[in-house]
Amino acid sequence: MSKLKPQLRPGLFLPGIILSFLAGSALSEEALRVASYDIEVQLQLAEKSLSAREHIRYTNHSDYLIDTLYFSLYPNAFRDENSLFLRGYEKLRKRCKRENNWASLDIKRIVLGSDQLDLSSQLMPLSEHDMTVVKLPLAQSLRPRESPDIHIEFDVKLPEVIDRLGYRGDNFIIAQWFPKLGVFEGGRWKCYPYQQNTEPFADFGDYRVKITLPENFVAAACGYLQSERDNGDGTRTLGYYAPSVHDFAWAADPSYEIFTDTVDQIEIELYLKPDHTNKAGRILSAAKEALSYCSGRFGRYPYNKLTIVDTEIAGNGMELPTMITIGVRYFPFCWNRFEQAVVVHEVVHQWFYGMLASNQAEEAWLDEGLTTFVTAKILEQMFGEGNFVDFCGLQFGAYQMDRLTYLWEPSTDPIYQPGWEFDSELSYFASTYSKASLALKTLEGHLGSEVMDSVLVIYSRKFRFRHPTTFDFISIAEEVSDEDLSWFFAPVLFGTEVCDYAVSEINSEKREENEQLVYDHRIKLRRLGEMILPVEVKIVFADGQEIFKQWDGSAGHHEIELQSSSPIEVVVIDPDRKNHLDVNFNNNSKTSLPQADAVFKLQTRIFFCIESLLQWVTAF
Amino acid sequence: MKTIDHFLKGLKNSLASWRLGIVLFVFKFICALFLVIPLNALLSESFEHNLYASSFLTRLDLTLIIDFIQSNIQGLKVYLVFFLLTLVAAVLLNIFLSGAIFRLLCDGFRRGYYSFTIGHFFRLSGRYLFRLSRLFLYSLLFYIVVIAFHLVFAELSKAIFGGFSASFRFAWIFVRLAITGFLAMLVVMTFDYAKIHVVSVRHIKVKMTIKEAMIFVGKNFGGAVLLYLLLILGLAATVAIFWGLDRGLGLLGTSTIVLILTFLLQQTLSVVRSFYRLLIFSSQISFFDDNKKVLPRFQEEQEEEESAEST
Repeated sequence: MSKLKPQLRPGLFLPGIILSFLAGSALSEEALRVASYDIEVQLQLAEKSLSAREHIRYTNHSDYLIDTLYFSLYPNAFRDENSLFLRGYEKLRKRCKRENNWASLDIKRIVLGSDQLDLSSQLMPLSEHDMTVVKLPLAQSLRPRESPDIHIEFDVKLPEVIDRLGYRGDNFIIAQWFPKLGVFEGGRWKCYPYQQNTEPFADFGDYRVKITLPENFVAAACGYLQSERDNGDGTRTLGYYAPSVHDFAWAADPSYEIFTDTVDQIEIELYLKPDHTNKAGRILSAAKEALSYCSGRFGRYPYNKLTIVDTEIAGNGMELPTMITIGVRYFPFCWNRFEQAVVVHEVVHQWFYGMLASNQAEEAWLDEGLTTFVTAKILEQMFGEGNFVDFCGLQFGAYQMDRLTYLWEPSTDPIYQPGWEFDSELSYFASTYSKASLALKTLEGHLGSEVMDSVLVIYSRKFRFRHPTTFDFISIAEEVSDEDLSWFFAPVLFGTEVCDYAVSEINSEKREENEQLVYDHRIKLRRLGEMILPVEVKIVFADGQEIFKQWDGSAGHHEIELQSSSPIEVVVIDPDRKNHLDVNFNNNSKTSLPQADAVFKLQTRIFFCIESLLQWVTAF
Repeated sequence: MKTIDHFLKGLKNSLASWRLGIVLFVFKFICALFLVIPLNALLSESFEHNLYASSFLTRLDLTLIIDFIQSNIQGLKVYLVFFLLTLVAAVLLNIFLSGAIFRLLCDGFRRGYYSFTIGHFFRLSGRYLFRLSRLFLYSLLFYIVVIAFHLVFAELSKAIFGGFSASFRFAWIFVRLAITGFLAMLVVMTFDYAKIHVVSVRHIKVKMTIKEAMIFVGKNFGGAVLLYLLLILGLAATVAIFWGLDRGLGLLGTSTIVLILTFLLQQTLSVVRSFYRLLIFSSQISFFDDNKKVLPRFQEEQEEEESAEST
């Protein structure tokens, strides 16, 4: 079992390892532009709609001939009750129907190259009832390196607050709003109908977007504001430029107040509604902390600006390249830090989504799991254990949150699985966020924190501005640790087994040998779950002596027999708490003497609480 | 000054009625014991020989609690049903006992003494059970009205103050809660006076007692509210003292003796709170008697009982 110990001496060799891995691959500040977009859009306030023109410069960077183009038309997820997305959310479907609240994206005209022929009639939806993906067969296949221009004119009808797009009053969040090409990878298009638990997947490119909106509106968008023009008709046009990104979104509200701060020469612009300005300091400081942490480890944040937008429309928070949204609430008490947690989470996504643009639809854990794992580290560094709530001695943090969610659905779905195959939203959340984060923490426990840091550093730098996969991550982890980690990744990422090891029995018999007392001990360990992970056992004796034993964890039970001159005080499985996937820490140890004081304290507190409750309920 | 006078008279009467305080405490203690025993079995199984349980000595380790809940989820679901049923039983038992407690407190206050025998106690409990049960159902109705008022008020506030600043709306939530709390206090108070009516007048309809109590509270609104606020203030001070002592004991460490002292302190507060309930009732009886002359029907009944006792 000593093989399981990392062979590296982290303190001495790791910087060298990182350098050797990254040698010859200078940190990229720019992405390979596959699909760049120039968009001119006008917000029509009265109609709650957008009308836009889009020019896409697409380059076939593959070695294949491409005979069809695939476009994602996200707003059509809310076009009618038959869409795949709404069929997955019964309550939302009923609500949309009841309120007659629908959205749509209609392509009015599509032209390829200099040809003026409108091809919109040739667009074909991927499935009969769902219009979120359409394909356009090409008259002539695109050769490698060929770079056609695509011109599209389209209208978007905005819904009133559904998922990530729409409006509430005068507050607009315009995300996933334009026809966007899928990713052509490995000889096939990866462009997924929008449905339950899926996220868009796109190539990098440059975005130049001109937004025309009423002059009293304050707009926030991805990238940099480059131009501003008063149109003289009560509207103004704002020109944004976002280089090396794979998406573009914007928000608008007449009441936004802007707060700014800088960290490491990165300007943070925070757009808050007037009611929430009391939160500006907290949000900005959380964003600065997260940007510093990630820039220092996972490669410099390559943009000069990060925009944070307050909108309750997109839920608690949403990540977009160079921009994050957060649903701020007016709640002045500082013991609640959920908003800081959301800000940190979304800022970390600037790396594990923004720059490492994995396929969120098929392997969401790479974005969400890694982000949740890093977020927990940052929050712990910022606020300690009670990093979500620290109230009257009660501490609840990111770790407890992950554990709570994971234990709710520990075995319904594997971590690695396409989003639409998850049993439910909760199971998706439990697997891709919480279980994945705890799995990474377990891997860190096994490899050691310095090796794990190196894995993340090398992974994040090597695949910057690319589309890394799960197998890229595994290979980096194995290369850095110089260890075959299939024993870990196979059950943890691809299986649904539950991990639960327990100390079952301790039997000791005392006898006399050569006028000395000798204890014969028999310790029984059990594997209560199906997942097999190596187990470290620590045995502590009454005289202070400690013994460590290893068990490969494969059998249903395992016995340790040993002799000592002293009775056993305690037997502990995983004494350094490295395995965070074990579903029950309470059976991981057995003490020979009862923990009478601790149990007494717990029981008497509960007793007193029940007495107080009785006092209340009988006080009518 | 009158309010303080009623408070002191109530204190004197509740101390003189110490047996009733003990009854209330024992009733509460036994119910709590009944509720805690099954849970303790689960807790012992998870934590008795658990090395990490030692963290409970210094803090509530939520990781262990989460694991405990998830690994015992089925057992806890059954326990929850048991818990709720026991709570309902405790409420019913309390209704049964409260008739005797109110009556004996009235006797103690009005006659200067009361007869406490097990037989007499349960006879009085039985005598008022039906009427107090009906009173309880009416009180539930009143509480539902208060909750409904709170919800309607919340909706109205949203409509009226929706455009106001968040700080104003946030502060308004507290105002709303205070108003609801005040209304709930009025209900509690009114039904306490209704109970005094019930035990004071034998042949009075339950609806009539509520009406009389409402008229009484309406006519003596200032005094009744002031007395209740003083009683609440006293209770808050008692709890604050307990909290300070509990904190102080916490500073002494986590030795067995400190844990035992903490438990004793908790039980002391529990006893005090039982006596405090007597104090609330007695003070209200004092206020009631002071503001409404002893009812003729009550006098007749009293004489009947005295003659029955003498024979």
